[in-house]
This record gives sequence, structure tokens and C-alpha cells, in this order.
Amino acid sequence: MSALISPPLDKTDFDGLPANGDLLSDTATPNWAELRRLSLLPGGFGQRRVELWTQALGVSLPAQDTQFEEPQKAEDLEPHKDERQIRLDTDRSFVLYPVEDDMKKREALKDQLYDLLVALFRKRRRLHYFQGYHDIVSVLFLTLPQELQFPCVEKLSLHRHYPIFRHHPSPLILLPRVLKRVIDVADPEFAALVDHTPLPYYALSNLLTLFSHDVPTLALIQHVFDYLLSRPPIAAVYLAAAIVLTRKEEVKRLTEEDEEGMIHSLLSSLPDFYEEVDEESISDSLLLEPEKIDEYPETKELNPRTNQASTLTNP
Amino acid sequence: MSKQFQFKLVLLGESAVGKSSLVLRFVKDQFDDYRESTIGAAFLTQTVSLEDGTTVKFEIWDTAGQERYKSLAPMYYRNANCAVVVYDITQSASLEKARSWIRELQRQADPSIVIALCGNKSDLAARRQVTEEEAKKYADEEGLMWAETSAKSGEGVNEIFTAIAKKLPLTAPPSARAGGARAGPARTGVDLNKQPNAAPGQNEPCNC
Repeated sequence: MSALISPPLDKTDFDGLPANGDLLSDTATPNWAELRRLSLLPGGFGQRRVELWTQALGVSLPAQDTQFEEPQKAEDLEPHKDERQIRLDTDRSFVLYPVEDDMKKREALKDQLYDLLVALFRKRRRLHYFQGYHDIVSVLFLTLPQELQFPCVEKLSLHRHYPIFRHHPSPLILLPRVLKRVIDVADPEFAALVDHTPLPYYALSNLLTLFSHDVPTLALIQHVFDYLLSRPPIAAVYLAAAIVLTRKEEVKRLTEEDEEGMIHSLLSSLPDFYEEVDEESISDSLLLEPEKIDEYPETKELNPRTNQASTLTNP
Repeated sequence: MSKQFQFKLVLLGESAVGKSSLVLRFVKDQFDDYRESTIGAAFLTQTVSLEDGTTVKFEIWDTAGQERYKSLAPMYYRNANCAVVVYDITQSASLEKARSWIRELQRQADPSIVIALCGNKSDLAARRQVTEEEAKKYADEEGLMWAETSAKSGEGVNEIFTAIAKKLPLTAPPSARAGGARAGPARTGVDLNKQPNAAPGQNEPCNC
């Protein structure tokens, strides 16, 4: 069976599966509870990331004696309307990682990312590219072996990330609208503070790019993807809400100072992440509902955007 | 005491013409050869001191260039005092896009908005597709300010923002706050899709 025609993810049951050790109860249905448990461990899926992302996305690993079906060559297909924009964005990709001083290698990476995106959009012509989708695909590109990149990107695009396959209603409005509802329920006091911006557009980058545009290191965004891919797509909205709510005290202060623009800047940026789990460092405000927001991704690494070292690296 | 004003400025223009780079040069005097695309919008501030002692604080909203994000733009230009519409002198299509933004501003934005047309990447003049004459003629016809800039070298960047600061109606602009005081009932920040059933209290001035 082709890897590309395995059962779609949206027909599987995200809940109701036992939390025992076997990751696959059969070849098509991952053990979501176990995937979720692993995603919360320090380092997330770690060495098993390729295998587990593949399972979570519903892509079958090829049996040893079979080959993946070769996707139809992109150059044989009609160009897609968004290819110019894809080029503009991939030309500006790989800014934070990987650390690659060799310009030729960096340019080669950009070309490969462009080719991967173009292959997707030429095959799936009704998808709508948006600026930032290249950030998501770059994480899969840097994580997965070449033969798994296309099938995994295709699954993600067709089954998991709604903004890429829907043009109307605009995902620019719908995702912030859902986030607003979550914030309203989770913390009415905070919701009142930001009520002058009825829709949380400050979170657009995080919602549309699944945090990949703003998370500063590959290791950390991989762990965030471990978390997201082992949960229903709506988990991205809950995670965005949890992060926004950590900023409550700062938003209060900025509200008193009437600094709307600064509130946008604050809420559109990410706090420093830590990899090692330090229970006491996890604010209660991060825990919206334990079932939905059960952990907070953390990293040991320095945040290059703020140049602030974590408490773990500078105890 | 010298006068202090605060104005809202929005950057518009096609993808990859250098909107964010212009802002980075103006605000931090920096340039990155590789700069990520902007998703949604970014907010920054910078203050300009004029020769007569007046200071003008710009609240800058830098927007995403892709057509798909276009529906968000009105939130950022709706109450803007000034707009910088950017094109890339090496891409004639980007001037067409700038024209369409200017038409939209002339129809939809505040009638008193000051619009500057800005031809960026002047350091790449060898690959020029848009002549200075063509752009300037269009700007004159439409009553726009116009300049060429290079975010990379810094050429023309401070000059255009300073010229905007001088051009803005400093005498009694309706939404600028003299002396830095937070007076007046109207919020002057970006009103991100204000709703008719807004909660009471949101339009009250703060207590400072």
C-alpha cells in the first residue's frame, strides 16, 4: 500500500485509547495516550522522533522490501499560483537555525525547502500557501529523512493544519476567534484587560505557523511539534492561550500605561522556554486545564532573541 | 517646554520590498542581510527630534506583505496619521502594488493621512526597473511625499521619516497628544476591529 493512501488522521480517535506501552495497537492507529506521555518527557520524543512523527501523521513506514511510491515529479506538473511567494519566503528562511556559515550549503537548503513546498502545491493544487507555512515545513524538512519529508508534509497539510486548506472563512479570523473564546473561559479577568482588541491578532504568527516562526531553536520547536502532533489540531490554540496567559501581570501594567502597541509586542513574542522540567518554574497560569494544557515546553538553551539566559544555565 | 507629539505610522507594500528592514534601520540603525518574513504585524516605536526642539514619537505598525494578509491591513491604517508605502526599485510589479495600496488609503483611510511613497533598495540601482522620474511623477500627481531609500546602506531612511514628522500637522492634530500627556477621550492606538458592543469603560481615559 502506498504511504500516501493510508487512513486519514481525522478518522482516528484521539481519546479513548489505553495508555499502555505499545505505541501502535495496529498499523494504522497510534496509541495517542502513549504519544502524549512521551511528548511531555524532557527532550520530547528524542531519538524516536522520526518514527513517532510519522505515526502521528498517519504515514506508514515502508516495509524493508518495498519502496515508497515515487511522487509524480513536480516539474511535470503545472505551476501553482503561490510559487513566487514561496520563493520570496524560502529565500528568507533558515535565519535562526540550522547554524550554517557555509553560504552555499545554506542556499542549497533553501532550494530544497522550495522544491518540497512546490512539490506539495503542484500536487495538491487547492491548497492555499500563506507566509509562515514555509516555517512549519522547514521543521519537518530539517527533522525527517528525505524520503519521509513529502508524505509527512502532505499529511500535515491535508489533515492537520486548517489554514493551508481553507481559504474561506479566513483562517486569519477563525483561529484568533477560537483563541479568544478559550481565553474568555480560562481567565475572564485577563480577557477583560485585552478587551479593546476583541480578536487576539497578536497571536496570529503562533497560531498560523504552529509556533515555528518564533521558537528560536530547532530542538525546542521539535519538542513543541512532539506536543502538538500527538494531540488534536486544536491543541495549538490551547498552547497559544496558555502562553498568552503567562503575560497577565505585564499586560496589567501596560494597560495601566495605555500602551496598546506594547501589549501587541509583548503578546506576539514568546517567553523564554526551558527544556528540563522544573515543576516549581511552571506557573499555575500555564495550566488551563490539566487534560488540555498538561505541560509547558521548556528548553535549556539561550534565547537568541532576548539574549536572556535561562535560570537553568545560570543558576 | 518643548512640544512632544505622538503619531501612528503604518508600513504597507508588497512582500519582500523591505518594509521590516526599513523599520529596523530607522529604529535600531541595523540591517540584516537575511530577515524573516513578517507574519501578521509587528509594532515598534521611534522618536525623532526636529530642529525647533519638537519631538515626534512614531508608533510604527509593520505589516505582512502577502496578499493573503491584506484583510488585516485596515486595522492598522484605520487611525493612522501617516503611511509609508514601500516598493522595490528592482521590481516594477511592486510599484503597481504600491499604487493599489495608495488607492485603498485614499478611499478608506483618514482623509488627513500623510502618505509617503518609498522606493527601497536604492543600493541595487544596477538592477533598477523603476526610474526615479516615473515614481516621482506619480507621487506628484497624487500629492504624495516620495523618496528612494536603502535600508541596507541607510541612505535616505532617517530623511524620509524626519520629513514625515515635519509634514504632519503639528499645530493641533486631532489624535496627537501634546506634551506627552494622555489626555482626550479617544484611544489613539490601533483600534483592532473595534466592536459596536464594546465593554463599558474601554474608551475612558486612563488616570495618568
